[in-house]
Amino acid sequence: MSRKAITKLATAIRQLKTAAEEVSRLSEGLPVAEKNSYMILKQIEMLEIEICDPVDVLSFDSKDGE
Amino acid sequence: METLPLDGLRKVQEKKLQRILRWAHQRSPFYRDQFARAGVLPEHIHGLDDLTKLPLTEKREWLEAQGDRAHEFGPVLAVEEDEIVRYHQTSGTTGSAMRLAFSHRDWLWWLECWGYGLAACNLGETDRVLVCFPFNLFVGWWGGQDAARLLRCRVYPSGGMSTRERLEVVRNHEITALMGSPSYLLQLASVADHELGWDMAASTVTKLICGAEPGGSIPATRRRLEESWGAEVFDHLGASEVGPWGYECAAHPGGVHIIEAFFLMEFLDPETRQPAQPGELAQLVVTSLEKYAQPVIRFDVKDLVRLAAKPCACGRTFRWVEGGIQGRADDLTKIRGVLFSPQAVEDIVRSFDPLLDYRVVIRREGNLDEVTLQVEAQEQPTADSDLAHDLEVALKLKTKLRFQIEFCPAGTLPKQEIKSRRVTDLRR
Repeated sequence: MSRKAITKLATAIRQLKTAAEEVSRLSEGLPVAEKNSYMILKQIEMLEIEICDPVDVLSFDSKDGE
Repeated sequence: METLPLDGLRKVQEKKLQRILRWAHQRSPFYRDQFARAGVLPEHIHGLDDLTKLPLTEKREWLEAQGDRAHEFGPVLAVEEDEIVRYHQTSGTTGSAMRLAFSHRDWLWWLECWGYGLAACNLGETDRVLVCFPFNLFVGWWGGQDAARLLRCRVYPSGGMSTRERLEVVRNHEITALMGSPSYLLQLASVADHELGWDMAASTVTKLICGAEPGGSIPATRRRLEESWGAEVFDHLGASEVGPWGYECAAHPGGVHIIEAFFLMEFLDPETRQPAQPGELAQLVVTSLEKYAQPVIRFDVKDLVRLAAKPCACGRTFRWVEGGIQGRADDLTKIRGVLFSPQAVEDIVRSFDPLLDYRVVIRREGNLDEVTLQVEAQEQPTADSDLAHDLEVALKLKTKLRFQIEFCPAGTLPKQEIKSRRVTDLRR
């Protein structure tokens, strides 16, 4: 996968997290939604440690687009 | 992350290291005390080289700190009690069991680690995986099972099943991969061959994912596994306290990659405790970079390894250790003044085809240590057989010790599904 694509992926993960946090907030008081949105948020954290961490550190947004 | 350039990988490790150090200092009284004793704060540790400012963490310290009540974790714990969703414990092979707490996040991370290993052996949606494990409090293959499911394999848990029942599952469901300890997978093949007359080398199994014991990287054991099952062997390394940290890739370099995305390893000379060089025998010290409920910082796991000097042909930049685990620092014992590692015996016994299983018994007779190898053979050797003599010579060459050889009928030595205990030291 190219650097450009990985950077785009990291951006999408962050958007997903924002959306999941909103779902989690709106789920309060509704256990079926609460438990699933909680698990989604935890799963997104795995995407962050696998994808966003290296993107943040390595500045994958360079122009080369390898 | 497996193919990041090394300098990039180090930067990622540093970011994760700083995050986990801050967390541990803030949330874990145990580590706060470790920092205080060393006179440092997380912000004093800028990079990997600064890590040695912190003391090593010994398993004994964790055990002492966890307290007397079975459901408590003591001051190592860095999350609220109600965040713990899984309880496991170590196998207790070296004494008391250590209590292990997992939050949701930690368990998912544990599966990420397993995911590296299972993906490296190309496990995927066409695989049917039989997990040969009793599914108890030992964390063992719980993670392997869940990670295989995430890779969309079809998973067959087999806790509580007998060896024959498992073999029937292998045959009836056309299982393609097995997870289990090397000695149990050998026993499975042996029962198939000798009791059922089934040739498992002709079965649908193509991959063996081994762990819990070092056999997957011991040449003779590995060869026997490959021949018995007609399958590719993938060793898998870890420790219950720190996480599943190593896996073998399909290039089979003769060792196991370290998941450097999530683990920071130090390699220390076992005697001087100074950094060892690649190729030298070293004691492994582990910092787990994404383990939050019970942080692991500079944990001395007592495993002996040899860091490979060359990169692996597979293209991964994660470094690898030659021959997997070379032994355990606390398994080394002196017999008649000679340093003895039980793994040396495994390699010899497994290279003799008629032998099935073994146990080493060390006792003191008068002022002398005596060491006996009890071995199971499929058929008892005849009086004129050279087997005992050949075995004794091979052991003497490898260990510098003279062993007494005792043959036992097949199936008479104790068997374990998880970790075989093959040394009984009656001197203690």
